[in-house]
Amino acid sequence: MTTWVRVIALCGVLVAASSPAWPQDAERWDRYLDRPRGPYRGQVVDAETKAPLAGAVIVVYWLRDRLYPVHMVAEHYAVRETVTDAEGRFFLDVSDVEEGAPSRTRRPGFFMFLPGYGSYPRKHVSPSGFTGGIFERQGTVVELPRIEDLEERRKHLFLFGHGDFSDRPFKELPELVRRINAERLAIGLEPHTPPE
Amino acid sequence: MKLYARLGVLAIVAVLSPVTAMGYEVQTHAEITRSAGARSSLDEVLRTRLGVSGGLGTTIDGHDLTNWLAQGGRREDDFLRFLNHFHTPLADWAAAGLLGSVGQSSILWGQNAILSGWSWQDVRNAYFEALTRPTRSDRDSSLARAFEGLGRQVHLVQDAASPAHTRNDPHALYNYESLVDDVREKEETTFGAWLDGSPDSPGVPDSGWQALDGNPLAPVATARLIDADRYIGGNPAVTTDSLIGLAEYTNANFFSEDRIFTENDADPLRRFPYPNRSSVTEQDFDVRVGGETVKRRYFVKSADGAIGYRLATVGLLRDYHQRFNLDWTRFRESPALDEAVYRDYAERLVPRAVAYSTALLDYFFRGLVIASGSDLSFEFANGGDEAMDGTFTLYYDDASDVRRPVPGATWTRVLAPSGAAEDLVLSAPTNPVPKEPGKYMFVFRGTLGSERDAVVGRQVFIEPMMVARLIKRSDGTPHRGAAVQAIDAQTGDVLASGLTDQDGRAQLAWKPGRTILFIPSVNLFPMYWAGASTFSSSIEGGRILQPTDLDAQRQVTIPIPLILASWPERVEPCTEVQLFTHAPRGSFQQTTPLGDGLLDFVSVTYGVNLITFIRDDNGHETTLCGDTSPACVDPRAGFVGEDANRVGQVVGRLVRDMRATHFRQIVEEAGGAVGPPTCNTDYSEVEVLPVTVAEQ
Repeated sequence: MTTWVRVIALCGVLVAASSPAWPQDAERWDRYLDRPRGPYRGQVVDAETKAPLAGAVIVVYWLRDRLYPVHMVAEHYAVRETVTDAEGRFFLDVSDVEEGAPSRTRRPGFFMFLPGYGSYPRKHVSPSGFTGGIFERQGTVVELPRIEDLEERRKHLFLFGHGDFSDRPFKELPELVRRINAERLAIGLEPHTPPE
Repeated sequence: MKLYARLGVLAIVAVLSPVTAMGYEVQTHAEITRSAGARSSLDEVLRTRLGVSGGLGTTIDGHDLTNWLAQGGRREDDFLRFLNHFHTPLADWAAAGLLGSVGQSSILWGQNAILSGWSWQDVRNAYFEALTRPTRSDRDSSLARAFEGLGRQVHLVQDAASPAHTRNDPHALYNYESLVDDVREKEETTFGAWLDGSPDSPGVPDSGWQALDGNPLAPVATARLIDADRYIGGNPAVTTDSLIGLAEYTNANFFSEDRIFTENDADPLRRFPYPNRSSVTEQDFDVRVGGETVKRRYFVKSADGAIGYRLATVGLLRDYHQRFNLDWTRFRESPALDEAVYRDYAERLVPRAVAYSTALLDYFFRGLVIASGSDLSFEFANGGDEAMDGTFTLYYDDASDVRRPVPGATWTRVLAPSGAAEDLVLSAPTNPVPKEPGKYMFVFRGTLGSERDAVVGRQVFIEPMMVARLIKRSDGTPHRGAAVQAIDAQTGDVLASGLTDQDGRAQLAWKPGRTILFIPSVNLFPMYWAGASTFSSSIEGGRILQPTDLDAQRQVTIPIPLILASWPERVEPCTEVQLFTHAPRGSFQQTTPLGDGLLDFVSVTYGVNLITFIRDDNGHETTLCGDTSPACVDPRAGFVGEDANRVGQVVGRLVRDMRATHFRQIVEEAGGAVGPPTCNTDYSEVEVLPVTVAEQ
């Protein structure tokens, strides 16, 4: 066998070995944004009293799987935030983000938080189970539990960080940062300040 | 170009272009890392050992420490670093990386101080700088870097819970890790349950991993979290022990996309003895496809290590194989991994990723130094389970938060577990003075157990002590049993109090630069020491003790005048006895033999209506006694601390409203009076007498 035959044969083997896996499950969540899915809407309420929670911050963030030579990394693509109204409702028109989003942009993730309460999806009461696409349709209600114990509130803050949603949270997520800082102050921690 | 060089270049380009070789996706790593951080001892270590009151919630450069940890878990996949995130436990570690040598074994990468930039030793250095750098901002930045580095270290451990990373399998776009990340994002309850643990993972890893023999290629014991070198290919049962490397468990019990039943593969890089065909049985399960429930047949892991979960789907050609008895090594039936398989994997692997990550974080902070005593005599001890051999250095922060080594406070010691260095004396820093006297950062650097160049930090309080020695100014003899107190000059709080011993010494805790000595009762009036042999009535007039006030024995000697109050008393001419006396009620009787059976009898009775002392300087009046008083108070009760500096001076007046009866009579020894009394005079007057400060 000549050198080049051996090279080609090896390459063939390796390419075959790296071919995509058999798509076993048609029920699999389609993670990518094949088309604009927004606007996104919902309502946030107190899990115990069912009272609407006004002023809760809603973060919608998009990751994009960027392919590098030999590598793929999920990067922050875009993020938006809004605040619930007096009825605890939110509505986000994100067509500016989703129309024309590059390939391998994932369908968005959601994060909701109000000081003194648990957060969605880290510490909430409902919805449970599979939550893909629930904010694309009307009527989704998120129940957040009130957290009284200061130590529990402190540990709850360990479960998320503004850096999870944005590389520039102080610029892109001022409402979230404001609420995280309010919670930090309430439990005796120093507020976050922008890095110099 | 040489053959092998061309082979290598082409092979790399060919194999890697269409694939991703990620471990868990970056957000999954971040979540696993957060979970491990929350379960570890980090928060407690930060708060109780290092004095970082915010613990994991401490914010540095806009992020709390939990987030720095998660950032490390997220960033370790940046650019080409992922090439070094593979470890095949059955290979020699030098050739256990991606495709043997395309990348370095994750174990070696984690300890590669030359290339990684975030090696274990780099993280140790960052931690050392977090404890010792002069400026607060540099220390904070270093602490953030240490936590990011720990996040990167646990990322490598977590990748050992990804089958592809232990089976030399650069894998395709949608795979086990993709499923886990989708569940993380869309099924928080399920993902949370995975983070919380699975029924077969309690107790892992066994802490014995720390004591396993080291491998010179990667000597830090954390290597054993990934590969304990117990699974050697023919003994899969050992992988369910709690004392097992995570990569060994994963390699022997799970498949990756392109390493399914490869026990007979011709390529040694793809060949793995377990799981194999003898490890499985077949079983049908209901699965949902296209909105309908259908039966799907799976290989269920039933032997050779971990059991009881779906290992792979049985291929679509399985029936055909069986019907015609085909050789499956020649006619591939294509078993594969579907979402249900991934979920069964994740239920076992994600909890282990959390548990092993937690173990690494706890290991980093395992060293423990305990210090007790005062700077006059203190000891520090090894509170951990491993010997410490290195240098122990005390640092302190000055008022500007600049951290400085304490001069002369470095000790090189070898301490066995529970071993102590005793009877040490510390010269409390004076230039500049500490921000909080007695508060130090104790930093160990050296060999901790088997780990070389380890770092241990501990905030300690070594109470500064001084000795106040009271002597009598008149003769220099010790003043025994005298109460003395150290007072905080800023708050007025009593820092310490004590009684002087036989040598006049009292040992007191103090704060250099903010302590004043208070002597409440040597004289009848309280005194604050004002330096030399002077005293003050107020804390403001007291001398703030400086370290320079102390001699080599940390002692300050205070000559104390023992103050008396002096005032003139008149003698009654008839009885030749004091006209009045400083007592509310009293009497005096005296009988003097005159011879011939006669006696000279003198009797005096005293009474007081009121005696007061009025200070000259401020008119302050002190009542010393009245008619019904049990006793009269010494005029020193109206003295103030400054009066101790006024020996010989008049400081006030006694105003005495007194009465007395003086009687004198010659009497017979038998008792009868002889003639009239010599005198029998009643006195009742108000007199004013100067009071002078005197010294014993």
